[in-house]
Amino acid sequence: MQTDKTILQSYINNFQFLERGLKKQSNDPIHDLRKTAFNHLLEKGFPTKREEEWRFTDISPIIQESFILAEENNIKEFKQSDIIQLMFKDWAGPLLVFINGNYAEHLSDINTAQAGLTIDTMLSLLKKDQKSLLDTFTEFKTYNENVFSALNTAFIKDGSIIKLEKNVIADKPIHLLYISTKQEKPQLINPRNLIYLSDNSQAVIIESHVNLTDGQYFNNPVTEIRIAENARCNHIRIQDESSEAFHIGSIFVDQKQNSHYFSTSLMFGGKIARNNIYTNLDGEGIETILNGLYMGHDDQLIDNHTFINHAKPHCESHELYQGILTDNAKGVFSGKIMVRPDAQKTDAKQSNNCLLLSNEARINSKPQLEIYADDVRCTHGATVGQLNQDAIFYLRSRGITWQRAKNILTYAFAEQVVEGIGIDSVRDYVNDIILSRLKEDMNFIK
Amino acid sequence: MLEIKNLHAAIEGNEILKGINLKINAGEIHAIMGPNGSGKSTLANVLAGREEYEITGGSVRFKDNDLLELNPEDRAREGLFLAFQYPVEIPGVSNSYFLKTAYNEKRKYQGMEEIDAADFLMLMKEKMKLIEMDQALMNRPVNEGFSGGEKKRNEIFQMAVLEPKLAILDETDSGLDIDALKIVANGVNKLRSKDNAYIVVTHYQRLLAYIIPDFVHVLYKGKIVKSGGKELALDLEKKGYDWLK
Repeated sequence: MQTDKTILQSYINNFQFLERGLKKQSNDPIHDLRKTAFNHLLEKGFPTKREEEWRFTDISPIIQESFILAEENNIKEFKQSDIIQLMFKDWAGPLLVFINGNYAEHLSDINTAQAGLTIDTMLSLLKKDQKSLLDTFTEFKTYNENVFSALNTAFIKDGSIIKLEKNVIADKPIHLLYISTKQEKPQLINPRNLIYLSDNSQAVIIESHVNLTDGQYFNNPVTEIRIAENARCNHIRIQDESSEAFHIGSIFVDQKQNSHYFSTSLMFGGKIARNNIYTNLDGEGIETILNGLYMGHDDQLIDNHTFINHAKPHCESHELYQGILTDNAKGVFSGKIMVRPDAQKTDAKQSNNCLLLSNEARINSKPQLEIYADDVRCTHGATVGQLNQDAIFYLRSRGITWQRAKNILTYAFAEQVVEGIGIDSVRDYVNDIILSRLKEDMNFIK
Repeated sequence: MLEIKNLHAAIEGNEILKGINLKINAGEIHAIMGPNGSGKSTLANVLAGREEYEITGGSVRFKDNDLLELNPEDRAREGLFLAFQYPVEIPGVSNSYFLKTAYNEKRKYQGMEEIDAADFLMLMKEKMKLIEMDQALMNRPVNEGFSGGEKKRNEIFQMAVLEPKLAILDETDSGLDIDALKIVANGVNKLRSKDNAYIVVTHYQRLLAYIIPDFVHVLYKGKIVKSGGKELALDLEKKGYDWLK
């Protein structure tokens, strides 16, 4: 799709700025990757509403804004007390803090004593061991089919790299904390995470994208996860950006035989926010669970796109997305399940339920099943509706106010996804966000 | 306690209640009987404040209040309780959380402090014993997956916890086997006192063998056509409703 030259000009300026900053490093092999991706972006341009995958999501407010690349000058000014409300309570596991895309070493803790678990940052690996990083990259794909991941690759700078050796079970969950702050000019941030789980390994990774001060910025993170045979990954992703921010996230998951991927995607913030999850089930006996909760208010647009590629036989995928929209908020859910000819005995189940709490809220829900195998079980269901009036009356008849009855039922609807978060401090953090949206306190559920 | 005068109510333009008069004092049990479609459940729902019904005439005083002016939650907080004919399933909300919230809403309304979790647990245990309620049901979502009998027993359990002044049992006996019926009736008998009153809405006489009413009223086509003592229920059992038409 052709994009107006003037729109792309700001990205060209940014790319030139980046290259000037690199100086000699612009001869590094990693930069070839950037250039390839950038050329791809220039060639393809940004998607428009004429493209099926973007039909309900108008991104013109994002592409018409000109962003600058985030600088790393003032990171040191932030103290732990400044960001404590964005951290999980009594967190004992590894923590990587990034402020406006730049790693804040003094706020992070990646020195795990555990053998077989390596945690590093992209920038640090680029400096000290670019070869091993590039080897890792060749194992990963560079995913240019989605222009926003190409944009991310073009501006690759920093992010989290996590690797588990064979048979290693990470003894504590790992928190990747991406914080944005208000700057004079709106910034473009492109975090890039690589997560590699070798055979029989297990890890819990929590990725959060949050803001410290309100303001406009564009966060465009990409997370690639490779899960080898018999490995298990529990990936919790919290998006609670500024109400003026743009967020387009892309997650690429590649799974091998008998592996397990459990994703919980929680979308709360952003003016326009989209999350794309692509999972490739490349082996037999794989289990994939994609759970999601999205809560939109004011004039937010929240879009969830998932794609599950069943390539081999005997795999299971379960997908549950729950949406709660009020005011003028708009939601989009697109869930594509592809069952390739080889993928016999596939068991795929998808459901997307959305509560519309105002007359103006809207949801576009699009399940897409493409099945090329004949011995499979695939089901999908979508519901859109209001709260059950009989249930509201039942609660009121017991002395519970109308507003609180509505909140109890709304919370119960969200809880179906939240209850799957197996870590108390993370679940408390998420509950806090939900309850503040409902204007209730913690006593409400305890 | 409750005084209904010439109450008329309609749903979707059809008048169901056509002039009900009824006075209930503390300590009394009133049975309301009648054939299907006579307006028994409508009366129960109108008193509880269900908004689908339009009040087209008459008045209802409850204690010192104009009942019809109160919203459903305030009716409950003033001490009115409806045991539903069809209790609603509420996925995701546990029975114990639901009851604790309801209990505390009432305490707040009465200007009392909220009860803490430990004290509430004690209260639940005491009431569970009274209704012979299975403790496992407490942590399950409200009525979800409950059998018909469990749902009805859960209604009486809620009543035991909330201690209403006036309880309306709407066809509580339907769907109960004889053992469950006895347990429910036994619970009601233990809870009754000189300070509270009951309206027992039922189609059949069999519940009234266990909950002995002081008065029996027959509702027919939206009006009370006959009132009497507990022996009236036995007459109805023998003769049916036809002789009253």
